[in-house]
Amino acid sequence: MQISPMANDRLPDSLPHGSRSRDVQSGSPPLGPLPYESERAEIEAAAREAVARTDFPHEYVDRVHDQGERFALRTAAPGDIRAAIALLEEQTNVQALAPIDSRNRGVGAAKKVVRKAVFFTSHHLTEQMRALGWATTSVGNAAAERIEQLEDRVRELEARLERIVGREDA
Amino acid sequence: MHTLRLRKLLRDAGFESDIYAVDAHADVRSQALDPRTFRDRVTGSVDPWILYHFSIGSPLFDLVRDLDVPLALDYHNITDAKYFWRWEPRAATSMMEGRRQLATAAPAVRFALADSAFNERELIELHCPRTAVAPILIDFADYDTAPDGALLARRERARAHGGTDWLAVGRIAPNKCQHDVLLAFAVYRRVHDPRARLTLVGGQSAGLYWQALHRLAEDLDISAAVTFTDSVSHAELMACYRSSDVFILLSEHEGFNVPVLEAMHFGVPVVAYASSAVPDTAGDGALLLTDKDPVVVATAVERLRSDASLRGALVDAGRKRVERFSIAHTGPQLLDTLRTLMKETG
Repeated sequence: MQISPMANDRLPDSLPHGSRSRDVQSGSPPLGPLPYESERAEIEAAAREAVARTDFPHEYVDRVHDQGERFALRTAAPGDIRAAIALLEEQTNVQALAPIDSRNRGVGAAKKVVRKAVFFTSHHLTEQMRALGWATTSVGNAAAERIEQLEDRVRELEARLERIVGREDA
Repeated sequence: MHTLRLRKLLRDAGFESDIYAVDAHADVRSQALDPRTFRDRVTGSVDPWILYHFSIGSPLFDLVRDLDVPLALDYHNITDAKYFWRWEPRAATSMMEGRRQLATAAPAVRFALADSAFNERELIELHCPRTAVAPILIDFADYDTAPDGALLARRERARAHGGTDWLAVGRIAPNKCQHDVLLAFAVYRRVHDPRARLTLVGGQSAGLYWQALHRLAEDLDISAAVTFTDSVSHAELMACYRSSDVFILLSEHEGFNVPVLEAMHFGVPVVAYASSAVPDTAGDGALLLTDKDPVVVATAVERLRSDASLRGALVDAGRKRVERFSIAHTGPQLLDTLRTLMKETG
């Protein structure tokens, strides 16, 4: 690693030096010290206290958390065919209605008219795409089932082989 | 804007500098030249260099790599494709392609500039031979222009009835996690301030995500209190900053993030999730959270609303941060860095 100190020394002092060694990954907070540590701790404590209060709207906040789950980042680990199929299944929920939001009222109205005019076509297409998606996930499920059966069989055979080898060694 | 400012900086310093681009935004298309004309244009030039602005996969990179001209990168980061597969697979594919191109480019270029230490670390991990941090060039004088009067008046009328105004600025994109902002806002309204309002400024970059956010607002019974502005004009953006109580950023992937500094410029206190490059940019000018559970975020906003001393400290620190990132400082730094690296690696 070569970094021109001459170049970096002239940059804002908080930028290259303090944070270079910090373990910052996207999606996770940095491990290094952050400013306002005591305030952050107080806020977290206050949040815990609020949740413990009898008048805390648990039902609504549970609903908020449940809705948040819908946005959870789901990625299939390499080799996790079931998780990959679940992701595929999620994508089969194709929407026929395109968004028509626009800051310009006229454009929004025009989009609405176009959407209505072509709905019979887009609906027909999305229905077929959904069917194709479900068929694809069925293939995936069938393949996963078969692979899992084969894996079970391989494990059985490996165990049998080990027993046979063990008997011969004895 | 960064590229335009950099060109001006270079021209003012006596360099010949032009911008070559494919798919330039309509507003700046006239400023860009066709990359296919580069070779003809530089014939006869003394010591030509290419500074390639890297942020997503592009066929332009393959064209640039094949030119026999010293190549340097200005790396603005590439969003992790994992955030986009579910919502906008085409964008995810471009991001994957960008990562592939970056892995090839980083070890082969003469040097690379990075907007933040976070970006620089990625370059170092990819064995880039020389790197330096050079923040995005921001001219805060651009923000001292008149806001959209009608929008500001409308927002001020709403504010007169009370209620905290939350503001989030940035492309509506899955990595920026506007859904987390909605979740926290919903809790805030229910627990702390039933009259609070949220404005989400930013154009959509994933239609399905955009739709899902609208559905989420409806499902949580907050749609009447949430405004999705889509893309706004500069004057409208100024009006939003001038009529907000708190700026909120719960993004999980940022290479720099200009809006955080914009909010600081307008004295709007910032609550942000400490991910990726956000701590590098925000520093002590923002209340950085390591947990973005909706209850924690809502409590943080309430703390800022009720604690004038903390709010004042953040705003003061934010103004210093703005000073530090103003082009008056970063411009000469970037020029010095470029001169040094070009001299040492040319």
